[in-house]
Amino acid sequence: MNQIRFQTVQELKSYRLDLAKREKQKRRLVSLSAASCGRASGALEVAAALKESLEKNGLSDTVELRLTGCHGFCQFEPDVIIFPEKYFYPNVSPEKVSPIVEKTLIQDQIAEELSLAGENGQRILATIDDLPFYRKQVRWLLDKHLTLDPESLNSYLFHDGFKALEIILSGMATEKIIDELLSSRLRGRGGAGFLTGLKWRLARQARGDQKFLVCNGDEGDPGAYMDRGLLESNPFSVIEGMIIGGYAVEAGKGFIYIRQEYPLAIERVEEALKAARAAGLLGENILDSGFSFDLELVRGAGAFVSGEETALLASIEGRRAFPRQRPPYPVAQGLWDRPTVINNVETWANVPLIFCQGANWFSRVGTETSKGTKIFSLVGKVRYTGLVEVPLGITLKEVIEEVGGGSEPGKKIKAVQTGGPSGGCIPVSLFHLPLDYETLQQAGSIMGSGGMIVIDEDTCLVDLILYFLRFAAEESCGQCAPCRLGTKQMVRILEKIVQGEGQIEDLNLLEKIGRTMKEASLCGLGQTAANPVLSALRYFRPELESHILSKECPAKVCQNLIAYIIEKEKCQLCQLCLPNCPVEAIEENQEGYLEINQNLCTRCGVCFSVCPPEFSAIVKINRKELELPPDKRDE
Amino acid sequence: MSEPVVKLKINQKMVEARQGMTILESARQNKIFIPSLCDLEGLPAFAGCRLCLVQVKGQAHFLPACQTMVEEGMEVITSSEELENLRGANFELILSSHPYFCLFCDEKASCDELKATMTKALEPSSCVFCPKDGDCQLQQIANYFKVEKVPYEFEDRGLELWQKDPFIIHNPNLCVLCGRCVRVCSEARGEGVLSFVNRGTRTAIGTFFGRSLKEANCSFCGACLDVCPTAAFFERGVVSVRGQEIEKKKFVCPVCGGGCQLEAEFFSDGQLRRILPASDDQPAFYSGCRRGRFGLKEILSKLDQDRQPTIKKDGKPHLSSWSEALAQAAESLKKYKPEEIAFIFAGENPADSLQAFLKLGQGLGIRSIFWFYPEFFLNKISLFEEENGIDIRRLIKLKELAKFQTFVLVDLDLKTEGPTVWLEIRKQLGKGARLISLDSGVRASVPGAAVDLKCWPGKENLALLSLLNQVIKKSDSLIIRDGYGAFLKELKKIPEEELAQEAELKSSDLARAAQILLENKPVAFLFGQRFLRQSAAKENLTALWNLSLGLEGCLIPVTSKINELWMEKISYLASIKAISDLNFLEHEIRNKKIKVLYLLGDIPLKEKPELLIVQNPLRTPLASKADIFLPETNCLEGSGYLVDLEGKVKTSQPQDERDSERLSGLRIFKSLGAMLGVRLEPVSEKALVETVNKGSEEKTTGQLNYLPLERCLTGKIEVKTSPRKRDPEEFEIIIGQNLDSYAGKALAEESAGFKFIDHPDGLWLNETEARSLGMTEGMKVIVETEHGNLSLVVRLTRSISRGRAMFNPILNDSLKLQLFNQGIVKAFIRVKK
Repeated sequence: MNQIRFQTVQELKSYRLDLAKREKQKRRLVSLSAASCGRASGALEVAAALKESLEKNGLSDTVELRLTGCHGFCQFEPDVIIFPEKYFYPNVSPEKVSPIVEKTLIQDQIAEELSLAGENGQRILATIDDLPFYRKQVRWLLDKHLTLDPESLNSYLFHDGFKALEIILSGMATEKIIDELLSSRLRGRGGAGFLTGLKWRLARQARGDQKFLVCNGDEGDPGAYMDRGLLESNPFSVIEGMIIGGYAVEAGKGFIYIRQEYPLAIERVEEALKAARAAGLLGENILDSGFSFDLELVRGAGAFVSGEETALLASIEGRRAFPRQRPPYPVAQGLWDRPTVINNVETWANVPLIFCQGANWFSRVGTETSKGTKIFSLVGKVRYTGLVEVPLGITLKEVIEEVGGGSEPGKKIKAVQTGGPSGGCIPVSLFHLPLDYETLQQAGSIMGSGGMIVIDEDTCLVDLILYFLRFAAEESCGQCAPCRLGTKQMVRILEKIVQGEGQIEDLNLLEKIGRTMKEASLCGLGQTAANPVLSALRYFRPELESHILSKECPAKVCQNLIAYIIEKEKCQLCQLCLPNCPVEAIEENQEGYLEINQNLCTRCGVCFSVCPPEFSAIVKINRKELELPPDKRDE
Repeated sequence: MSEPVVKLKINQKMVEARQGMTILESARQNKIFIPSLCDLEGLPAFAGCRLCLVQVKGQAHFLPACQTMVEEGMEVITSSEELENLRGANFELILSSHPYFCLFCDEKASCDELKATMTKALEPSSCVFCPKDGDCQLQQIANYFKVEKVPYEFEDRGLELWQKDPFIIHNPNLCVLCGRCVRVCSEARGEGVLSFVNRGTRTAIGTFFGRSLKEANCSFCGACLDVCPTAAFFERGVVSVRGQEIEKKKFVCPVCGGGCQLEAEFFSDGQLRRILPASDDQPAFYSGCRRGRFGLKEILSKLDQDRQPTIKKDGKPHLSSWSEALAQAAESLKKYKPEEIAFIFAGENPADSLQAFLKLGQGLGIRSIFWFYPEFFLNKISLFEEENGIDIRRLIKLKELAKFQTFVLVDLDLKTEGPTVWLEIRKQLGKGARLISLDSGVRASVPGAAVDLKCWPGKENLALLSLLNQVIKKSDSLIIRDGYGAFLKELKKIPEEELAQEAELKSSDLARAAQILLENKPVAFLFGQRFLRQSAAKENLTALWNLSLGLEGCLIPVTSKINELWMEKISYLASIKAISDLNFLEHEIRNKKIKVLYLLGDIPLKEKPELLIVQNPLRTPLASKADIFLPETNCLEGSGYLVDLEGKVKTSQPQDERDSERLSGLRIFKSLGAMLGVRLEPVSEKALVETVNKGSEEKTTGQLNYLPLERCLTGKIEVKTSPRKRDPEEFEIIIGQNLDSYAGKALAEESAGFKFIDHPDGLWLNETEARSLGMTEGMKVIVETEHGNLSLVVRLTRSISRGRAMFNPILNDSLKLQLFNQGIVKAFIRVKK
């Protein structure tokens, strides 16, 4: 398609409005989730099968197949949504293509056997509106991901893309733009929650011969992929947000920093930048406004700390990603010492929305201090996992119980960990708390960029915080002593505790290190890296203490504290476990029963997993129950 | 110029501070102590140790005093229970990564006697092995915090020591990652050899892909040793000071013209512990290099045996007392007629001592007083000035270099020939100045050079004219002075390509250089002795003058030997002739015209006169042949004044009570004078300063404080084409200068480390070309010249172009001297069978 180059705002506007008329709408749209996760689950094979089937059945003229970005419902990747009915088909594989085409596209029926099984009396959950996962969300940003072609500027324009830019450039004074943003009360979605409008205002007022914008797409929290979802599914929205930002703070250049591990996001943003440049939406004298602005994509080399804003700036400048002391803040002294606005991907993506719909519209959702919606990456021990967008102020309970569908069958949820390695664990007893920046902070956690890991009784808190601390110790940049050494000592102490060698004084020491890291570290990473431990000490002290005092792991996770036994009443002597044991620890005793020799057992858990579920004869217990001491042997 | 002052409160006390100061600096100024570890005056702040955190009113977090600038009305609290607890807890963490047995050990008080035997091991696993014990900043801070226990178990990081390199050992297990070494290496010294590697708990100091320091192009300036708060970087062979009295002596390094202020540390038994930079007017780590701190140390501690004079009897040197030797010397000088005696000086002695030597000679009526100095080129400049009626300034103050936007190095390996100038230029490059190198032979690429023009040896003049051609092409705003039109007319007669081709330069490179010159004025052209030590010296200087004139640039000759600027003046004032070869002298000795030679220093003399008196701190081969050998004090012992390349007179302190059996030059001359009836007045520092500055006062005017160039030099420009390589083994050898020597001895002679880094007989060749001839690194080759053959060691480099080689000889034999005086020599290089 030959992209036209827009010379004026008017040209852009009429082109956009014409699009709806010109584009002959096909009868049906088949939306296939084909972002990274979808592709990893075989979306491209499904796409090929769908294309072939549509052609074979002569449906190409009436049905449009669209490879969209992320639909958000992770566990059902790749999924297909068929519009206009919004039929939802989970886990589509090439084999399922032909029944879907046959039933839905040809016979206009639902292929029930491929739909999601129902609950609460419903036989099936046929459409996305039937799914509580989608129903409970407020998907201002994410809904577009269901129908938008991320590689097409036209598709973005069709979805009201660049409408905000039109509004801005049709005579909105820069001060007015910032006022509008301020009155929307949009806060930074990267974690700290600084008022975006205020940041822009400070940058605008700062003196400098040049000003810069940066989009922080160095998303590094384990299990979080909000930014990737946005960049892969709707790259133009971030670009539009940045153009508006550039206009408002009078910056001439911006950088989109994306971690190297996001190849599809990089590719899509790169292509989107090219398309925007070709359309005259980036570059010299944009839409004859006299405003010139361009964006450059920078790839991060994989250090977690690069997500910290000052370290990210160092990285863009070509130096080692060491953070630096703030103040001065980047709005005063950022890239090459020039005033720089650095915002998270999601923040930038919210900007066009605010200017399209108005600040009042935006701020009607949320709490007193936290407005709008926030995308979370809901994972862990819940029924439904995925990228979810919910209004701020929603309770944790609503997110976990309703959007996430609650615990897995037969399990009890214990806590939710928010904010990734910088966050903390919030116990079930506080699930009534509303999700906003301040509340989470008071509860000892943080909003962070939106990681949300639900844990249940099978998750050992100590093991979990050890995981996060190991991550922080690995990813500390190494510059400041409290972070580099504090994380290291915390890991050492926690390792002792999970091995049953902890001392009760260690808990005080953990607290002391945690406080030192919080108060003395140079950057956000170090200041928050102790949060998992500090929140565990606050809410889950008994669980830590039982590892130390009674050498028991309540979740039966810590390898050195548990033992596997065979319950002879349940054992059917199928002997499946016998050949699977790598250390030949399973022996037949004199009475003819199978027994695990605890002297040999390394607790690798293979027997536990091969024992047929209908028997479940092999169980985990604490060694304490066998009056055995902790065992330091590894598998 | 007074800088704006701000008022702030530190601990409730109102103080004043200069704007741009940090809280830490301001606190120090007011004698308020804030603990700190990573901070070091003169280096950019790092804010990594977090020990200097302070409370600033209105700030949510504690802020590092080392990086937070003072502000008007600021209120700072530097100490509170909360702060001290936080710092203490943080310091415990810092100690958790460093072996802390030197701090908390039950045997601490009683073990001093035990440790003497344990200093040979390189790896400090406990206090007794640590060379920094007693002098360690961690220990000092631990004292401040009164740390008695660390709640963390010590964990040996088990990292491998760096011990492949000479002089410097890095023990990463002792490193607290304060980053001072990284900052000093890149920011202060411009080396960029050290950097942080890895992250998280594995963060460490590293080099490019883990190479050894030598392979990472380290110049072994030793600054990392000076700034390391622990023994993570420590000097090979240096042992702990604990329990021992250390005597310190400041002296001026006599090895090159930089004249760095250094400090020698002696144990109470007189053994030299180490040599450190000790500059007064800037952070010490800005001065000193491997020659002064490691080379001198090794040569002087290994050759410390010659304390008594010798007198030759029956063809063999016999030890004698000073009175006997001096009496005999006086007697010999008395016995011969003044015209039969020659005085020659070639040493690195203090200027006041040299002046006494001259006075003694002149007092005795001796005419043949020579200054043996083959590197001398200021005299060539003087001649040129006289011939052309122009003036080229000698004294350049390092600070003035800040005024230039572009530096052009012409035939000048500045990093080795003028390290102090190089460091100053490095600073300017950091601030955005540009660097261009024009050289026929550089063995290592010039770091930071925007354009590296490698012309054919001896064609520097054509290269400069080619550059001028490009400048003219790009600009019509050349400053036209007297004669410039005529000169340009002359220049245009020769096709531009012909010039560039003969110089072997690409016009694209020349055009790039010209662009830089035009866009970044003013330009300083720095050149060294090699530029004028070739047959086309005059043409070279003429071309450089005219280029500089067109660009309104400044010519700066860089002298590389200590006292050189003073010697130029004194040799003119006292009509002392500088000689670059020994032909005349040897001729006179052969013809028995000269029968006695009193030599100060060492020269490559072939003929022996009837009587040879050698006075030198070291017993060189020539000194061993002397009839009378007078071992004078070396640079660590003697006091006196030395003149550096800025013309600054620097003082070497007299040694405190150290009982050296060697006598200082001054004492020797005074005694001889007394015996011979010549009264020698001491020379004051003031008199020296006056001598050095004589005639240059009027040259320090002008807007840029350098002499504006006036007249264009006209004359016919000739392009002599020279035949290029015809045989693969035929090379053009550029004979460079080697400053790695002291008192006639190559530093490498006594230092394996020196030899390892820079072999004194190294012949630098183009890597690819040498390989194609079957030559490998370290291989012995025979260099056949028309003057004789040399056996040299192959060194490979990518920086030197094909068809040429570079050799930097120590001038300790006559063939090397002869080649040196040629400057560029044709030779065949053949693999030694």
